Amino acid sequence: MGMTFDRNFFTQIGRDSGALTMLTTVVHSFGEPGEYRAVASNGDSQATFYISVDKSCAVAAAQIDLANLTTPAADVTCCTGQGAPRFVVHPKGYAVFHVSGGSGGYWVTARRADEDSNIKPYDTRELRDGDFFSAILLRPGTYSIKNTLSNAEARATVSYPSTGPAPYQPPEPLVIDVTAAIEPADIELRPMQGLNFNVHASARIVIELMEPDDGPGARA
Amino acid sequence: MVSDITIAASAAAFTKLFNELRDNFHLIKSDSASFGPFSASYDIKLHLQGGNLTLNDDNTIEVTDLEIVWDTLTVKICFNIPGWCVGGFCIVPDPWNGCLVSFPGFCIGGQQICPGLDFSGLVSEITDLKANLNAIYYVDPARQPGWSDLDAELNQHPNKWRIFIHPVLVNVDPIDIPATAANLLENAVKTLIEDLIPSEFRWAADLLWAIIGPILDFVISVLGIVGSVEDWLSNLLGSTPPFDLLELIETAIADYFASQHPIYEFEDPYPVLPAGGGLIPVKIPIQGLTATVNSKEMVVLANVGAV
Repeated sequence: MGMTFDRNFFTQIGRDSGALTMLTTVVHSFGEPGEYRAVASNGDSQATFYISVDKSCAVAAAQIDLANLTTPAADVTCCTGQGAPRFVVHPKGYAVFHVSGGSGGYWVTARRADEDSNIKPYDTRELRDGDFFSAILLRPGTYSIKNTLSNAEARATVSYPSTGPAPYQPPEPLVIDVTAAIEPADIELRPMQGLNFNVHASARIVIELMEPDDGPGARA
Repeated sequence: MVSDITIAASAAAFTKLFNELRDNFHLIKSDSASFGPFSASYDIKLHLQGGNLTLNDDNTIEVTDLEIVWDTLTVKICFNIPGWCVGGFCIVPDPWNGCLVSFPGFCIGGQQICPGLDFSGLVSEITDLKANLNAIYYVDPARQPGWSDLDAELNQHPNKWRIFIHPVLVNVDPIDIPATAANLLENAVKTLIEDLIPSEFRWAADLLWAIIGPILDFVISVLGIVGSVEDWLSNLLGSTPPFDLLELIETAIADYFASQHPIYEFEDPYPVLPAGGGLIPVKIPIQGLTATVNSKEMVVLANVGAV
């Protein structure tokens, strides 16, 4: 785990599966063996990389740091060979797209190198059945959670932190199912508690702060 | 054998001389050191005051209740805030055991902070200072080899007999760090951590406090403090290497009295009549000067040497 005091932790309040930041992750299984050419973009910069989905590879989770890929002269030590970075994962394994620092806003598109161009490439802005989107909310308040591709909605409330007799540890993550609806629709969270969205339908999950909670002092 | 010269100074006069010497003592020092999980530095400036002086018949001088006034006593302790990690939880569980995919975690923190504590104005005590007198012949290093005694006097570099208080025991009490030290440390750490987070993110600061838990417990754990904060600080500064301020003060006081500043000095040859009427001054050489005390006075004995 990296050590940081990145200001983005505090300034980036909302979360978007189609614009990944430090506290979000998309997990995708390619399933079909083959060579995939992928592009990570955030509007300002982009980077091409390859994902080899290989039965002979025992890797269950290929960690793909999008910030590192798009940083010039980044020390990408993930891959073998020369040229664009290459990640290898088992067909039943997962590509884990995450952002280790900076303002983020990344999405990833990937298509098989030998695939028919008529087949739609994978795009993290349109999550598929079997994908996972995971997010952490820090700022206390009430949030709307929307699948912008289906207009399904839910609501989450992050409680205000309080100092107790022992250091605070966030509880286990909550699991949210994304089908035609988002269930449960009413979510109570504690700060830093994870939200794991199990995606079963086409989805782009956007989480926005509706009403901030500035603590007991502000409520008084 | 009877001495040619006998000079006595009453206990009251001796006390006056001692007080003047005491008032001119100052110690200024700074230092820093690493202690593994933290580093510390200090700035001190101190002087002496008070004290009860007694002259004894066994040729010793004893000063009790001499006070050390810490004009400046500031301590800075630097340590890294440990990282508080978010994430790391499981996203895709392994159907058989454990976890296939975890949320890549991040740790917030790792910054160094240096809370400062100011104990200026504190008073410590030298419970006991025992000494005797030591007369030392002093040849002014600025005196040229070819100079006569008259040349040396005219050039203001005469030789001298110097009488020093020679401490044989200096016993400094441990630094009495007040019990409020824990509060001071807690507040200093709190302020510094709050400064790390911009004030508009009040919620983030509160989240950080929740993660840290009780701040004093956190500080005690990071610094490895066993016992009270005040005892720990007193120990850190006062009685353990590398700072060992008690030893430093004892040595500084001993050096000051024993070799740097005499309680009294006589010029040699001693001027008897000043120059005048076209005549050179009359001076007598002094030999074998000794200084002792008894319960009533300081006694200086000397002989007139060959001219």
